[in-house]
Amino acid sequence: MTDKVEKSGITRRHTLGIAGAGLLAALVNFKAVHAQDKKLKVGLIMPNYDQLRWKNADQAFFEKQAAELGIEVLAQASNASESLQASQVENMLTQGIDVLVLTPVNANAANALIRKAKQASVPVINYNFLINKGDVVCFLGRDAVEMGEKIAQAVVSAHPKGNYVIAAGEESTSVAKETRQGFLNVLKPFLDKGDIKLVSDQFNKNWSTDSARAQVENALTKNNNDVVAVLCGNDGTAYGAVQALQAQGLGGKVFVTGVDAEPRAQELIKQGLMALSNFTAFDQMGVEAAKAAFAVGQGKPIEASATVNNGLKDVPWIKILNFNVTKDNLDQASKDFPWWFAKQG
Amino acid sequence: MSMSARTTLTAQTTTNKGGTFRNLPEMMSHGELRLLPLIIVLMVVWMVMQYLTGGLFLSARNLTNLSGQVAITALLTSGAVLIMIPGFIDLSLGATVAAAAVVAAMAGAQFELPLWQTIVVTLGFGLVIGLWHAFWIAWMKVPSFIVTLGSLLAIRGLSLVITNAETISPSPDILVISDTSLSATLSIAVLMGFWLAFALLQLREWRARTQAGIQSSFLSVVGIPVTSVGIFACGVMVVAVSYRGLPLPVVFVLAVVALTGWLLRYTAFGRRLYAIGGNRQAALLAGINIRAHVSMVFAFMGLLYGLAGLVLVARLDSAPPGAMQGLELNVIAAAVIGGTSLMGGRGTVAGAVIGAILMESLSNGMSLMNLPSAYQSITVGLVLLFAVYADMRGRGGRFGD
Repeated sequence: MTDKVEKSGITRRHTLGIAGAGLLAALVNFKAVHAQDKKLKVGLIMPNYDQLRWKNADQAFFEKQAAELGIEVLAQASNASESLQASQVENMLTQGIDVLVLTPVNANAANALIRKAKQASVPVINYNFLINKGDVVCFLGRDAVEMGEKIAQAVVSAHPKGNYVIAAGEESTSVAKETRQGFLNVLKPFLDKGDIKLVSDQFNKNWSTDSARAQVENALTKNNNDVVAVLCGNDGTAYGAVQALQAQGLGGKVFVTGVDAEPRAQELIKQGLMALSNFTAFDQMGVEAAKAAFAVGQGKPIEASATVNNGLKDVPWIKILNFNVTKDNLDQASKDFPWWFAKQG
Repeated sequence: MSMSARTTLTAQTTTNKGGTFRNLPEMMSHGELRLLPLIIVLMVVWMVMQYLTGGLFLSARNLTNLSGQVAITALLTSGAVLIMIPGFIDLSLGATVAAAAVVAAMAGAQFELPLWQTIVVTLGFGLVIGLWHAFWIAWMKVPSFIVTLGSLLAIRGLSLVITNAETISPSPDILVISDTSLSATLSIAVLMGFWLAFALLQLREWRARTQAGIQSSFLSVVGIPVTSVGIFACGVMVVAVSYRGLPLPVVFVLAVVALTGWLLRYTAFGRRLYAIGGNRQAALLAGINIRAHVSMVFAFMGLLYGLAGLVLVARLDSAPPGAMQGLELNVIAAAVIGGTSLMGGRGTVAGAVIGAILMESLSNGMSLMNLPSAYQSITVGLVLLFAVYADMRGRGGRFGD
């Protein structure tokens, strides 16, 4: 606290001034457009942009469909932060949205957001992750149990007997648990008969490729490399399984499955190192969400094929198409979904 | 007031002659009005946001939202200033606040404690962590960077273990913290009290200086600060009265700011914190009990973990064990933008809170403009960079040139 320190005021004043001016210049370019007409205004919140799908599939196709329907879209991604998402919901409500399409960062922490929307009389459409006990108008998502069953069906028809490994995803997500449940639904009769033995069945923290690799390595060590299939929670965990198998010279000899059909998974399928990866039509999901938001905004009924109980009530459920991508249908899939499969290197 | 406090004031005021507006630039770079540039920047940002959002930004509704969005950072940044002034740092905030939220949720929902006991348990939990930090830093002499980094990892892990990595829902009565707003009359009373107390303290300081024969300008000690705080209080009053009243978390912020601001400016304890940060050796030789002072600030910070955890659990109506990652960096950034030095010895609570409001205003405004979050990060990052650059320049020779 001497005179020397006191100089700081001038310097800080100047630099803050520069910062302020720079900010001004940056922001003027992004002046928000405020539509004067009575367009339907829909808020779309994505959980993050870390995975390829959110920005390039879900949001892109939502916005495209919204433009066709004449909806104004406010889109934000929550950087995987619950508190940022809470602020974004408040700010969207301030901007006067008519409908909110919410992909929760944390499906167990989203009820406060729904309540805020309700206070502002804004209906909420629940996107991708089912919100526990959420008072929402409808849910869009794949049926992860059914997806797990579809994958396991393909595995048991190729290998009706032998040692199996399940490398499931992050335990705290419903999709990881439900996918595994789907696997087990199909495997149960085989396990009871004793034809199939589940030699390793674990969840992998944060969908970690590394931990999946370690799990499969250990399973191979314990069973003297006698494993016929590895069922994985997503493509990331499947990469770990493939690495573990290759290290033992088993690449391509064991049936490995993944979920999402990421570009790298497509490559591994082509090489025969992975047997299949389940693909969900995220484009269709974005399109259906925009249509549902439009219907809700107009006060019209939602076309849903099923209902799902989220603990509070039966919610109309718009199910999204999914299918197994294998060597045989990879080319067809590339034609049907170029926005996803064209991304491969 | 202690000796060290008196000498500090003397050093500031002897350079500060006369009380006319001609000396305003000089007064701004010295002493009391050091915050004025920051306030001006905040005002400019608000005006720009008001324009760019087509009048939404300064609506009572949005300002009320903004106050709720900034509350947790503002609460913690007040405590962070107390820690940073004597030259320490706290990197554990994100983890400890999330853990406090988990404790609050579990106490209410799983152990079915009544609300007041939940609050006591949560604050107690925070205090225990604060004392844990104090023990390692003040007694075992481990650098605070390492101790709190250890907590960042360990306490986050602890939350995941006790919750089994699942998000806990609190008992509904805790929502009273986020849903309660003071009535209009009560809001006005609280704000008037806040302003009056500030005015009286400034007046007392001016009188003390004059009586001690220190030349002191009434304008810079009482006039401008009291007027600006008055304008701020009136603004908050108008907003609070025209929307839903003063939200309870904002009352917490005001109380913590008033308490820490008073501690730092008007008590020997606070002035000694500056002395410790300015020159630890000299402070020790001057007979300051560094251990006791450091323990006090970390214990106080512990209470703030608990308080912020309560606000968080009420705001999210859930306690995700992985919540608030990176909060510690936001809090430190807010303090630094507000003029707190990372090297210790310098900083004010008011500055830090304005820094927090500035950062949250940028986020809120850009979110209202519906700017993609990537651009929001770029802007906030640049603002932080400029502020830290200014902080380094302000320290002069310390960094070498």
